[in-house]
Amino acid sequence: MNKVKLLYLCLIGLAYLFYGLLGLVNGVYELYSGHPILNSLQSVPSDPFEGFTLLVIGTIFLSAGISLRRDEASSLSFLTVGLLMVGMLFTLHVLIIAAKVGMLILLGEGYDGWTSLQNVGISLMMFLFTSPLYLFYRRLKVDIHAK
Amino acid sequence: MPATPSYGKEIEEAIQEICSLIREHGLLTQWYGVRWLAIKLLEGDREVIQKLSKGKFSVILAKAKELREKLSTKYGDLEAYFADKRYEFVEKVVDKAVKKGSKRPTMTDILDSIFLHKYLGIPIFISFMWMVFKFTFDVATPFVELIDLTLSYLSDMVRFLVHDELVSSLLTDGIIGGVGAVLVFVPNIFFLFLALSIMEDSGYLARVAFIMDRAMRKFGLGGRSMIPMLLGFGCNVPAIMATRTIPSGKDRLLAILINPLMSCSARLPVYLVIAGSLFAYDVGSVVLSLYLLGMLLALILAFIFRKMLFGGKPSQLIMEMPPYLVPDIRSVLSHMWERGSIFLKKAGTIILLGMILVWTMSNLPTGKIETSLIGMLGHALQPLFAPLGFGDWRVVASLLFGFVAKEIVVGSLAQLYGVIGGDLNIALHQTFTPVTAYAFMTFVLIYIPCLATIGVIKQETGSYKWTAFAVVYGLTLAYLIALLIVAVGTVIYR
Repeated sequence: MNKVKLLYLCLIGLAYLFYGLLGLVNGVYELYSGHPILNSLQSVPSDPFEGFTLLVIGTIFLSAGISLRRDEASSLSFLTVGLLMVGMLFTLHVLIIAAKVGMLILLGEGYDGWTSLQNVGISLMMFLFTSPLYLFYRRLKVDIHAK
Repeated sequence: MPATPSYGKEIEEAIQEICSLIREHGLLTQWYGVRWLAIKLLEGDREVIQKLSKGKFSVILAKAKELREKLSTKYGDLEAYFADKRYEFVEKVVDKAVKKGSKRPTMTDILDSIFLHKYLGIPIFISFMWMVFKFTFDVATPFVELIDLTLSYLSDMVRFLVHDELVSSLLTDGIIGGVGAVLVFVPNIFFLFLALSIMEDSGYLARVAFIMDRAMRKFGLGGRSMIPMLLGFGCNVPAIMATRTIPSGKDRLLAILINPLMSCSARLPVYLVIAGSLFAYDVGSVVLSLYLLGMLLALILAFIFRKMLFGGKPSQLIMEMPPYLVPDIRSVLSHMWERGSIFLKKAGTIILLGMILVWTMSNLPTGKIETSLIGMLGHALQPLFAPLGFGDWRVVASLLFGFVAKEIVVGSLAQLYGVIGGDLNIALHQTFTPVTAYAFMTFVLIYIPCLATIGVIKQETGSYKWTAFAVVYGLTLAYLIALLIVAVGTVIYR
């Protein structure tokens, strides 16, 4: 893996850590005060456990970056689990959107849980930025197996 | 002569010492392999020791015990030591006998190095559990709404068709309102079991026992207790029965006593209705926090009970990890149905009967709920619960019926507030603050095992003393923790 790819992986890890930390602070503050601290940034999660999950993913990607730099085989494991968790989080959010569409169909205008911003959260957006890492993963798998 | 694993000089000497004693009692050599029997005695195999205790083999047993205790100080748990040595032997044989094409790591190796990671293992498990609860609550919402709308329609239809006021009240307030308040959460229960079945069939759930073992041992709980604890998320009754796999009597009793703290699926409707009403956008997180709180309390109590009541050290966990698999959809759905249908059967039997009882007690003797039997009971107990912020007698009365089955708490609330489905949310919003709501959910998590669980505790411990202890400590702990939540919460949210 060249330096650009390594840098991209670390940037993704840092982004997850950053949003995870924001989500955690936002969520804890909301529990305390009843409204999120970052009221205007609706894409940042206001759920402390979602923030925690993003932090975990960020840590896994950064660990992948560190072990890649050291040329260790564990980088493949970190990358695999990181991508798996990102995929699961994405699927979860898609299912939640589908459920909200279902509620909209059932209740019509009476349903107030649907706003476009609320649903396109950071987990969905980050999935798009993370998906190129899948190509890195495939390449890395071939390289490690060839060793 | 077939190859046999070697266990090291000191252990081999101990094995030989027991072997010669066994040979002296010629009788045993007719039934068992001498070396095998010696190893089992050193391992402390409960079944073998029990069988030998019935005969005149006290000299062998005493020697084995002496050697076992002496060697344990150096080698730790001997059962685990023997198992490790056997696996080493198997690996050596396989290395010599099997030709492998390449040594590339399998997907199971790749995933296990992170899922079983010393530091990341538990955070990843918590993240997965959050996803499970988010899925359980958020994705099931339209199905919940559909059942709610159907029940409201059914209730209106019964009111229109049945003109007798008493019968109409029994059907609408008692049965549709009460059982319906529980049935509304059937999709959540099924979605929870669907997610847990996926985790189980993929092979991840088996790893959770391993991940938690390290932490649990620090609290005096053996890793073998983890499987019954995980089963407790479904239902405490089979979970307590599953403690039979724990060989040590003390470890088993400890696992039985803390199992009711594992939040079973019967408590889920209570959390969902209260959290749905007071913490609308964070239901998944609030519910997860209650599950984690239950686990944390179980660990703390295990530590206290181990120190004060039982003593000794927990037994080792030895388990073989299955490989990771992509779950088979038919198998996952069948597991989900197997577990979910128990909830449906319960709704049609014990919950239905409980709801009829609540309805009867709320209509006798005067027909007015405030002066009914249940009203009098609720009012009488209300002062006891006032410090916990459960100021409404109806909330207190609903807790009494949770003793039969926890789901009945929700049905009772719906009946006593005289509301169906979504209207219960509004009623609860007016009754609780976020702090008292969390205290109430915590109280329901801890306060008393249901009737079936109490029965199985008596059956498995064979003791009225320990059964009474489980009930009394649950009630006391629930009261104290709820009081603590209210006290701390009131200071923070002042």
